[in-house]
Amino acid sequence: MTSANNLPFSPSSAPLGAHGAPVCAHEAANVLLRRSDNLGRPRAFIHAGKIEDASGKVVTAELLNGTEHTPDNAEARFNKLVTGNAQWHWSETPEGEHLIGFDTVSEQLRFAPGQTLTEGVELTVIQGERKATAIHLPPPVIINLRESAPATADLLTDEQLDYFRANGNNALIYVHGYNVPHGDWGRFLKHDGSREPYHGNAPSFAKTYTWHPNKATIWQDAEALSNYSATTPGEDQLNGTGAHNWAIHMEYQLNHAAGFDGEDWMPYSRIINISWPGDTGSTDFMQAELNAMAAGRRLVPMLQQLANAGIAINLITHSLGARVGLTALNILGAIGHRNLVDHLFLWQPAVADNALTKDSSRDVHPLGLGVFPAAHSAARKIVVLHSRGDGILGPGDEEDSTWWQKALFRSSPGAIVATATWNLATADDAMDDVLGYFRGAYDKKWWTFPSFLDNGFGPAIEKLYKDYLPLTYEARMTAHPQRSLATPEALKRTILENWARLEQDILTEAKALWQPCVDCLRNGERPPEYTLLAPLNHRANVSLQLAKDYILRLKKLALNKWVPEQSPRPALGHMGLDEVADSKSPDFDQFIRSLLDKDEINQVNQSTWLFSHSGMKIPTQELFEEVYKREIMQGRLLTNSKFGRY
Amino acid sequence: MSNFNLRALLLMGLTLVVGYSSWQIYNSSGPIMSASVSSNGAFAITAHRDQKLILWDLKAHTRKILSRDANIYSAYFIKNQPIFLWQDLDNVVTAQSVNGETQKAFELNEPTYGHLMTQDLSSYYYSDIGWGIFRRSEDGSTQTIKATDGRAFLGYRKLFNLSMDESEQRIVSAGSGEPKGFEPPYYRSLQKVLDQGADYQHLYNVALWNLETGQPTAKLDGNSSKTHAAISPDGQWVISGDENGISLAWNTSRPEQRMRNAGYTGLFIEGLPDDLPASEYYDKSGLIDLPKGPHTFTIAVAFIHNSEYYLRFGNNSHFAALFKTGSPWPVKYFDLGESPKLVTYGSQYDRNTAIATSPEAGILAMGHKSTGGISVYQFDPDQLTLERIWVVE
Repeated sequence: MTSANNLPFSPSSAPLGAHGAPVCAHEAANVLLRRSDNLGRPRAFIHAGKIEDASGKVVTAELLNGTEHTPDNAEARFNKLVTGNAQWHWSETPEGEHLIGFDTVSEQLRFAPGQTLTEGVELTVIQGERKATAIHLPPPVIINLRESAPATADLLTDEQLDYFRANGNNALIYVHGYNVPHGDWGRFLKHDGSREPYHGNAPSFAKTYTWHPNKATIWQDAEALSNYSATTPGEDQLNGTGAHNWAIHMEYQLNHAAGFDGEDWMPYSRIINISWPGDTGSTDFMQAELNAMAAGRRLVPMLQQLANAGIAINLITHSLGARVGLTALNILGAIGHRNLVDHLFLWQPAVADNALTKDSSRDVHPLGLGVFPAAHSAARKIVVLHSRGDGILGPGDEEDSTWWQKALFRSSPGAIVATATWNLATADDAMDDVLGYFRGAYDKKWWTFPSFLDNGFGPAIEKLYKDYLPLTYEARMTAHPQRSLATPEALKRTILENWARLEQDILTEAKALWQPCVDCLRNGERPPEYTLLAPLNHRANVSLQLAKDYILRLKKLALNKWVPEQSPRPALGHMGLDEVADSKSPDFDQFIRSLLDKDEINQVNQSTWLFSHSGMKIPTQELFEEVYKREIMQGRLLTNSKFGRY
Repeated sequence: MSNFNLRALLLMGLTLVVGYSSWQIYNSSGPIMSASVSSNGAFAITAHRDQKLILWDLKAHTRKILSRDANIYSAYFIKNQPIFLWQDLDNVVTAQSVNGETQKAFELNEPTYGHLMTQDLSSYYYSDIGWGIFRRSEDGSTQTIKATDGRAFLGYRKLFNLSMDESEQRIVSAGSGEPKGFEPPYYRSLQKVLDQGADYQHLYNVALWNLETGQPTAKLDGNSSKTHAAISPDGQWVISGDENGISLAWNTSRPEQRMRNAGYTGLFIEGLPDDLPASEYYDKSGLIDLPKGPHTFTIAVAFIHNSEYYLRFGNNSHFAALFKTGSPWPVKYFDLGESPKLVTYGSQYDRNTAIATSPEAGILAMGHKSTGGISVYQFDPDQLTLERIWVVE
């Protein structure tokens, strides 16, 4: 026996083979990675990332490069890896398909989205072939109704439709409110350890946050992440802005209410988010209303698409988003669709409290866009969530205000502005809060004073009929003040000519679009949008008689210098149905009362715990339990309609 | 007068003012959160938002602060006894007579959100934050009748209202009406509710319980959203009203037969086909003249004269409607007074327990919206009048 001590080197005592051998002696091995979503459906790899094996070698995968979601296209093969510990890094392509699980024969790893972006996923490469499945969230769904787009862009893709069909055969659509820009997603925070506390001392202030390039399409808890730093990362950076921010919050809260525990993302369900151009400037409410109706019109084909696919539909709208949803349902109801949508939740709706009446004659809006006579029939149940504590939609409760609020209000306008300014600093939608402090912005929707606020009917109508100005004797409303209109006769003649031309063009539009609207709606296609008759875009189509009636209304309004003779109805989101269905009042509406008695409308008074217009985005515990968990999920969706696979 | 004397006088005056103010504050109280009237109508016990427990002598028109650390939802008079029930902030429940004697005391392991006790003080029933119903027996053991469900009280911002009949054989509970389903049978059966949660955890809507068996005997469907209900003293009737303005009645011997009560603009007729003109769904034959003010969106119902008459209180209204059991039609509307504003204002469904009656004595006691006072009314069953007999601002 030869003593080892006599040798000029010390041999390794580790056994040869997979793990014990020196790296150079490891055997070549493969990894077969499959990709699926959290429904277990194969998802084609577009980019499979890379594996860094135990030797430090970086290997990319062989792909079939097919884009169809077939099992073959969902496979990525990494060859010639050395056995041992390795990391798989993936850049989350397509966008928003966050990695949430990694299954091998021996274990099932679960991750929060974004968790693996920095470190990758650890796996052990073994002799032969290691098989694993990477599980991803489906991508988010945002339908952008802001810009002109081909009609197909307003629809769900086949892939999206398949997802909702497979995910419990239901879809929840959320429509944001007034003054929300399109925005963008946030990003995942990069954890590099540099901001973690050092020996118990406070984290360094010197370093700024670093972010992954990957967009984060799910909600991230800023407070939890602030544990890594002395400061809390910004909401905008983490959870995005505008409609994207609302999408992230609503989707998360709805999942949470349905049973999502915040840990296991496997049952997490995507919702459909509608982004529409309600950001018209904080005080141009009528333009936002016109935009809402145009968006609602574009929403119709997608609702038909879902219904034709047999997918149960639920709709949640916030604030002026109610006008988007009600427009769509009014059109669908008018063409005979009954119960197309299971539930319509109107959360703090910025529409008239009699918006659901069947009787158009009850509309006090001077142009006839205040009520949605057929909307009720397209939904099985409408749930109105309202609060008198909503300072945007109506006046607050004087008696319940705190003493300092009263004092500020009663002291001077300056104090009001000071209060508003103070709130501006922390407001989600700053201008909304300013207006809210002027005692109910909704009630001011027909304001024509002060003119610098650019609200009321004038600006929106002037914009709508810019090619027909002047329509009144108001010099400031003339489109071309440089032209000579010095004599009243000349001005009068011009105005009369403009009216004649406008009237003719309105009637022509009504005639021209009548049949195309009928045909498109019958075929589930996007109906043409009315331009001159834009205030009637909430109707399926406009008859000649209705167009003539509209012209009369318009003329009457013009004679009154665009100032309506009647005050607007209180906002449904503030008043609920108190005045139209509950009292001896000239406004009592027997039809709305009958919808309550038939249990086709329910209202939920949130006055004692919802005190701000947008409080549902980041709800208090009470609000979460009340509205998301019990009123929306447990009592209604999970019982009658389902949400995802919960 | 020297400067010194002047300063001393000012100081003394200031001391008196401060002292008086402090005394006033010490003796003032927050708004009533729960109230109960003794069966003989002589006393009311109230628990206030600032945790004061106050005994009101309704004959002598005096009041006495009994505690400053009372559970705000714990004021309750035991039927036909000069004994009331309350709980302190250490969860000690006390059955105390109006002359101050403690009849019974025990510690509960949680705060009550509504409770009651049998006349022999042997059985104690209470609800918790999760809309559970529990029975504590004389031996101190506790039995779950309805399981608690998270923090339902916070969720609905409403108490799980409990009401017991004179025979102490039945309890009616009311939380929130079950939304009507899309297809028949429209509502879950009791068995289905039980399948979905042990001990009827999710039985939120109006339910009739048999206290002997500790089981529900009927699930009383048809209300919507936040719902209040009461059982008549003789145990024959259950009356409900909700925030959507639907009021229903059941005879406990035929709980499967739901009867609508009229709204103030008509009696809704169930079972008609869809798409009729709205007016055809309403029978108006029994309506009486409606003053401006009563609201059908109901915050509470309460029996005011034995089991024969009951009152229905609307949200944001200072009117109550009088109904007679067995008839769906309102008999009379009572103006309860505009000032001080009553607890019926402000959508305070979490304070409907601040409305209390003694059906035996025809006494109604109500808290106020924002102040700590009380309004007391006497019902006359012959004249059908309801007169405010005492107001404390």
